[in-house]
Amino acid sequence: MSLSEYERVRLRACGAVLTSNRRELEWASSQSPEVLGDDLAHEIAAALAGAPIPGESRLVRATTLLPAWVQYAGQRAVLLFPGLARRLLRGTGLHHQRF
Amino acid sequence: MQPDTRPARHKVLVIHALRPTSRQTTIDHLLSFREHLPDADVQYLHFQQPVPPECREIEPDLVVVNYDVLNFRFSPLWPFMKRRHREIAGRAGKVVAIAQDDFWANKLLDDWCMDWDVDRILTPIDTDRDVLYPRSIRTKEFRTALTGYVKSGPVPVTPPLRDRPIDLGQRVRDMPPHLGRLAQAKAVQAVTIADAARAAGFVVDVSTRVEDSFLGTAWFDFLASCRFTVGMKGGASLHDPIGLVHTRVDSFRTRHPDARFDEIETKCFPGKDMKHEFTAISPRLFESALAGTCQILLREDYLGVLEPWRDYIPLERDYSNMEQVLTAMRDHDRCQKIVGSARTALVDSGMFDYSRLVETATGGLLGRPSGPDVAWDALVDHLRRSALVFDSVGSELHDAALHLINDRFLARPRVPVRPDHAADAAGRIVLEVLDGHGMSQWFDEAVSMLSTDPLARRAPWIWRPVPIGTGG
Repeated sequence: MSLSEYERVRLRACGAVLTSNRRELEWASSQSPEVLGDDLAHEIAAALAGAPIPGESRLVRATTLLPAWVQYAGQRAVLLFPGLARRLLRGTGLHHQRF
Repeated sequence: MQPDTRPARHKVLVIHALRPTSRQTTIDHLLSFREHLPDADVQYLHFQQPVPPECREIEPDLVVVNYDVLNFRFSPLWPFMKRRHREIAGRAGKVVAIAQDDFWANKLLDDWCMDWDVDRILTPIDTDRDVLYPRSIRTKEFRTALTGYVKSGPVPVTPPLRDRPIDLGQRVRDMPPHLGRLAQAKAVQAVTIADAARAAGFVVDVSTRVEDSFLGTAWFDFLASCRFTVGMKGGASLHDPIGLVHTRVDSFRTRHPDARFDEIETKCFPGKDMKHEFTAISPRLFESALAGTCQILLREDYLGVLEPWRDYIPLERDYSNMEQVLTAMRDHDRCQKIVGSARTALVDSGMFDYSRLVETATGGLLGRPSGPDVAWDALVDHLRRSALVFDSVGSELHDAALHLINDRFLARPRVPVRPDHAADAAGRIVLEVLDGHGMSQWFDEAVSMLSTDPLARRAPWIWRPVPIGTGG
């Protein structure tokens, strides 16, 4: 049994909240509140307020001042710490490039 | 136990990296293996997708690693990706790698080919392979593959040239400077001829801006509304073995967003460019032939089958024959013949359809099929159930469920699996829809496998399965 249109819209909006993806959140916030429901609409608004803007992370911009090999090695060293790697990817919006 | 009486079939595993933003051409490319190997059991495994323990002992006859996986080689996560499914490749009869864009970060690709003991490498680059693959070139078999092929099926009907509203149309991306001056040439060529055509009174729609690009079928519709399009081989001229030049250029452009190519070259890679020419045929050659659009191409060799003035209008490298090209564009009858000739050479000949890709990749590698394999059957069943959520229920549920796993169960692995999510609307809705469609078991299995997965714990990305409803 395939999804109804109502479910499709709500699930895509849920994905936007779960990923803090700004572009998707902007799409979700333009959907009808009757379809989304109060709880989800509230979560979308809250997530949009804190969603990172890809390319405008101060941390990412600061690392560009480092020599290329330091960036290269640093990006890989961070992955020794999975929690830190996930937080950095999500906090900077870099992970949206792969969605 | 009943003996297995099924006829032996080759077991072919295609490892891919489909994601929600993958282009249709990538999906067509993957599906071609199932379509053109009808006697083989072709299965598709996403490189991120975990494999249950009972499937890990599979012994495929052939493993094909697609370019979308290999294009992750510059990702910091590449060391983790390299280890994923390596044991499966180790037990496979043969391993084939399909490379694209191998003109940069090539050392990472070359090392991977050696590490996975790849038997055959398909690459669109047929010059300077010893520069790109200094280790593999000694022991591996190389074959030339194209970056695009013609999909089987009826040729679309498009209007004749004189009924089209646009004279010259094209979309070209401004290529990043870390690929060198040669990569910039395509956009320069398109803008130069667009300016000349506009000045001569033609209707022109040429753009290098990303926001003007067409997605999906809109691109073909646009091409079929243009009388002429312009092109050349794509490629790069800068050798950047592990991508350090790329990193340096990206950093410089972040600080100097308006910097021009010459300045970037001086600061980031002085004296390194134009020592090599890594070029490949663009898939647009075929798209234009299918759309019945007359091609204005840089005069060079195209697969040994296209002749200037017979199959395309040649443009000299120094634009010295621009007036001749513009004059030819006014002769619609002659150009219509060129269109027909190009379509015969590229489409009707069947020389460049996807069956050629499959033959190039697998020809001579599939010997006698290996016998029944319980682990393989378990994998087939697992992949079918995984794809069911996507194929039968909907991509939105598939994606949202994986996002939920990423956000709730991997980011905070100590959070209990289900009941506590009632407080969170997004999580609650996803779980309710999963329950409503009978997909909870799939979800619980995915949580269980991903929660200990080293790659999943680091990368909050999701995968897409290859659609099971198409391709045979």
